[in-house]
Amino acid sequence: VAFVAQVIVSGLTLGSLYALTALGFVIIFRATAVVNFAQGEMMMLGAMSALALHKDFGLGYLPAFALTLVGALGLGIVIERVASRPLMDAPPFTVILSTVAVGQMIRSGVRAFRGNELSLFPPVLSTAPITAWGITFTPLAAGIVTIALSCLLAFLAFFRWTRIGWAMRATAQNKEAAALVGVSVPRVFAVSWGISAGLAAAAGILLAPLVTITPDMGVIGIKGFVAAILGGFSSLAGAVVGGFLLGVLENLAGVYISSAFKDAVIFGVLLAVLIVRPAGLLGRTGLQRV
Amino acid sequence: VTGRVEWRWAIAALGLAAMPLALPEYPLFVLSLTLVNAIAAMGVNLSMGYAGQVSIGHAGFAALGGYTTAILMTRFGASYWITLPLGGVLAGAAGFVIGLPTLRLSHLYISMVTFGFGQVVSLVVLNWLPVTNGPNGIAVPPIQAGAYVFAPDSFYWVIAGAFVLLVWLARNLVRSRLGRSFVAIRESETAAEAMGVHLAKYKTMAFAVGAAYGGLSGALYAGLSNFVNPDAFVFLVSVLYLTMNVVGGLGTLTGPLVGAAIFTVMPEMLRGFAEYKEFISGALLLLFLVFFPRGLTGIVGDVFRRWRHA
Repeated sequence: VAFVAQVIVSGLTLGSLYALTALGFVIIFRATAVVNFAQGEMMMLGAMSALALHKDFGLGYLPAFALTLVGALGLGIVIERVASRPLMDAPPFTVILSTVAVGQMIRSGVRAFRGNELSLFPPVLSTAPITAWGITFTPLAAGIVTIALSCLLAFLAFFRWTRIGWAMRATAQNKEAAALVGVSVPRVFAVSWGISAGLAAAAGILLAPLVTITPDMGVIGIKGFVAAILGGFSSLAGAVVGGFLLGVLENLAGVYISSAFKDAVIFGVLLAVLIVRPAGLLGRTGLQRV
Repeated sequence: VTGRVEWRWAIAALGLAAMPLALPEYPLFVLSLTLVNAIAAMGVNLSMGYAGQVSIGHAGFAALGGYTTAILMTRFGASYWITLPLGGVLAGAAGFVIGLPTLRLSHLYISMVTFGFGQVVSLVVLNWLPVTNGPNGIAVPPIQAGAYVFAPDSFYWVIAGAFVLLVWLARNLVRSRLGRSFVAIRESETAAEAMGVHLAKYKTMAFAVGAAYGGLSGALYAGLSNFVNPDAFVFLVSVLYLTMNVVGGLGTLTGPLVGAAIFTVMPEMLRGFAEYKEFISGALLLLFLVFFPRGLTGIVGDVFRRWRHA
């Protein structure tokens, strides 16, 4: 039992990052009904930018974190303007393709800049394991989970108590009605893409000390996508739960099935969920409006 | 008018057949590769361009075809002439199985599922060492017909033959009742359903046929390059098939071929700028989606029509 508990706790670290990314997917989906396939690349960009600021410009971890977040926010707004808004009236799959295009441009752009070099982020907190209540973890992991949870809570508070947060919720329910009562729907779109990019970048920065940083690390962002689907893709709470669940599941699969196949297992879960219960764990199948 | 169109087809087919006489070995290889890519792109076009169901994992279907051929030929000494159609059938079956439950849902689900499918295939191919030989790939023995052994330049005939056959099939398909149903679905699912189109059935059919084209393309690729490895079927390749369609022209018969020609020849020309070619194709995809959603064939068609009416 202690071993299983250990595996579960270890899964929470990555799980918290999946939750952040998943939340980003869901925010965009709720606002613009688009699946943003560039989300993983935003995550990679977050890690890259934090690395560059921290290592090459000698900024502290927290200033690098903050600066990267602001940059990501801006980039998210730009992407919405360039790749999503001009296509709002086009057939639904075109926006999906345009996010795929944006992702490919970011990935290859970063690669052209930095080459395929593998970089390591200097650890910001100790990685010496600590044991408490029979469970071993590192201060680094605990710090990551703490910051990730703070980001989640900060977003939920923003969503619940600010005007633009209300506007986002109203827009998700009914765009025309929201516009009628004075919500600037385009601004909601822009903010949604900005915040979503910010959350992905935050996940990327937090992930940076844990993995090797390469232009292809955006693949990890796909896990956030799986988490969002697990949670139902339209439910914010579902995205968070799905993220943690996925982190734990992945760890269990790595231990009990095969570490080489754990990613395949995760996508197997994804396919199974979509086929058996497409509304996810906490989502609801909506009516399709015509 | 029909007679004239048939003539145009005959001339195009003859032109393709004459290519080996006109082209040296390397350009001929690039042309073969173009046709192989065009077949996969046609598959994407059938499900996306005609029926409106996006596939972001078509390289997964190609991998099924390619690896089916490589594994059956090396392990069981199967004949290529059996593994080639089998690869198509298996990929089509996979498309059917995936499409059956998901195509009943909104269009977003099929994009997610195909994406997941592509990733699973990539990962399995990369990690299932005993069967797929992992990242090192599998060498495919030279293709034989009786005692005759194909070389890359003579294998062109096989590819060109398959291409002409598949274009002909696609053309007849999109002009049939089935194809008209596909377009009706693309234009408005609600309206199509109201007119009596069985949505789930036709969407699944469009998707399975598109997947089978992908599988055949993979099997032909295995025969042409005599080698399959995971790199040939990564996500980037799936995106490339989509880009070929968007730049060439979705929902047209010539679009995928035009796109495949551009995106097969371009990397060969841009050898020195290898690190920018992904960026360029990504940028082209975005550019065409936003400004020229009808693709090159659409633009050329418009210009041609204006010129004729002027």
